Amino acid sequence: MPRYAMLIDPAKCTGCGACRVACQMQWQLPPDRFYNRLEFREKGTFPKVRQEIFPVQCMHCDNPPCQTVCPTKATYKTADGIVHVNPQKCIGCKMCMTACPYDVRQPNEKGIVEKCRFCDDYVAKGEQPPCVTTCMNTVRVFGDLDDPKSEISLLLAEKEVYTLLPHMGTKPRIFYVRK
Amino acid sequence: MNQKTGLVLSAILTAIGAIGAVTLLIKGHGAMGTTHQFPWGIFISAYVFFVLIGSGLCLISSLGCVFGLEPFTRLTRRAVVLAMITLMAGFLIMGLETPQPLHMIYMLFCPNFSAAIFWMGSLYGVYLIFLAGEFWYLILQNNAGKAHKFGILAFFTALAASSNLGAVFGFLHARPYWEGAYMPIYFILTAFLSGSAAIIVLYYLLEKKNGTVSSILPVTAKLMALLLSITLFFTLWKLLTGLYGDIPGKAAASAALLSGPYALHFWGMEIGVGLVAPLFLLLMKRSRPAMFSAAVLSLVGIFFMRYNLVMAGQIVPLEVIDQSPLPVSYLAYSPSWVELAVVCLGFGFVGLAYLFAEKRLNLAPTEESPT
Repeated sequence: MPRYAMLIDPAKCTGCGACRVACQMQWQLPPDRFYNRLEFREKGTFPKVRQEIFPVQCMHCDNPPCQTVCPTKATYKTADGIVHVNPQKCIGCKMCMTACPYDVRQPNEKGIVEKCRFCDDYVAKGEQPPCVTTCMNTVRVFGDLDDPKSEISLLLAEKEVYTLLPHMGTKPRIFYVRK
Repeated sequence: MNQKTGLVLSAILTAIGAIGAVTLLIKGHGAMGTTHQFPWGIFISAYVFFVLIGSGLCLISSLGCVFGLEPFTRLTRRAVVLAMITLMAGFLIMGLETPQPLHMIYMLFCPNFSAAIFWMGSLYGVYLIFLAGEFWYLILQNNAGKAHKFGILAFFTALAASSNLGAVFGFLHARPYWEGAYMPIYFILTAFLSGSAAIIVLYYLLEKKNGTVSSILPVTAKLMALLLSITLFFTLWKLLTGLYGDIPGKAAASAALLSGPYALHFWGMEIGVGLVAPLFLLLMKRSRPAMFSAAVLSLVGIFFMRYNLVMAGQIVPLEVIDQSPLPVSYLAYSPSWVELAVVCLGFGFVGLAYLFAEKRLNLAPTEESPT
């Protein structure tokens, strides 16, 4: 069984937003709904200022608070590391939205609270999620942590990485390359 | 207010609410003012408001039916009926808040025991069943012994359910303003306060209509004054601990109440109208109209208390990039007319259902007689 994860290199991101559009096209989302987003930060003082861009999406946490608070087990994590939502069980109480520290869950038109699924259908066919393939700068690398020869495993061994909000204890499966 | 006025007012509120509910069902949850960053709105506030009144009424009546304290033994029947009705009003609003209520069946088939909302929902469901048992034996069967047993069960379930409702908020580590053991305790306390205020409003109107005078009003008013004092300190300490140390997320949320977008709601309605003014009335003026005014003001303030609590927990945007946080800003939420109408439905339902129960059921204790 694979153990999926993603490595994001924010320094490479241009902020073009193609990842968001690719995701919206993949899941046929309206313009105001998205499963990934870019967070912009300004750093430094004039004249030495720069902008940092952080792609953010569901972290597919190993200890997902959205799963813990879901009353019907509509949110669940599979052995491959992907956090899923079962629309047949979701009541739309939005507990998961209040519990997620990454603010990555959004209700659809039926009130089912959706999020990034790591495009599990694509991945099962051996393909990569569109947010990965569409990126011109290879900001995202997706792969199997249990395969020591996978690109993500090699990069994780080579680079200094961090996760977002580690003090929350969520153990995210998305890693960021430290600048 | 006489019965006819109450009936007309309740019918108007119900009609407004029905329009809102139908609009919500047609347009979907896009008709609400909530957003993906501000997921919980006034429906959650109203739900908390109604179900905690329902819990509080049981706690107050338990002083009589469980602990045998006079004069609370005399109000059990009405308190049980009103508790059931306010609970159902809360469930009605929660049913409309939840876009897929039928999926709740999975709470039976595959319950998540780690979810506070599962326990809260289950306990309130069980609580309603115990209240129904107490209602059945006390009012319909006149069997005080069995009613007493159900009363004991309802008392403990009311405590468990209201504290679990607090845990729904208190378990959310992502929301620093709510997180912690304070919420379950605060919810029990303010449920008690809500229940005492509701009893005073009810018994003032009843005694005025029937021309009776009982000791229920002055004794409950004394209890309410004590609860108001404690709640005032709870609220101020929550504010101070929230501000202290400038903890990210928590301090900004507390500042939103102290001097930010919810300052008027907090100082004016929650503290002023809901706690200080009623306490002043109860301590300085001992007349029955003053007790009634204090209870009404307190209930208005408690509604804002619930609203402020739900809003403050979400008003600060989640700071995801912890290495370079953004300057503090606040998210905006305004309830839509549909949401406000549905809240009116809750109040209208309580009014209509209680007036119906008062008319059709024998809710007076046997020893009560007009003076």
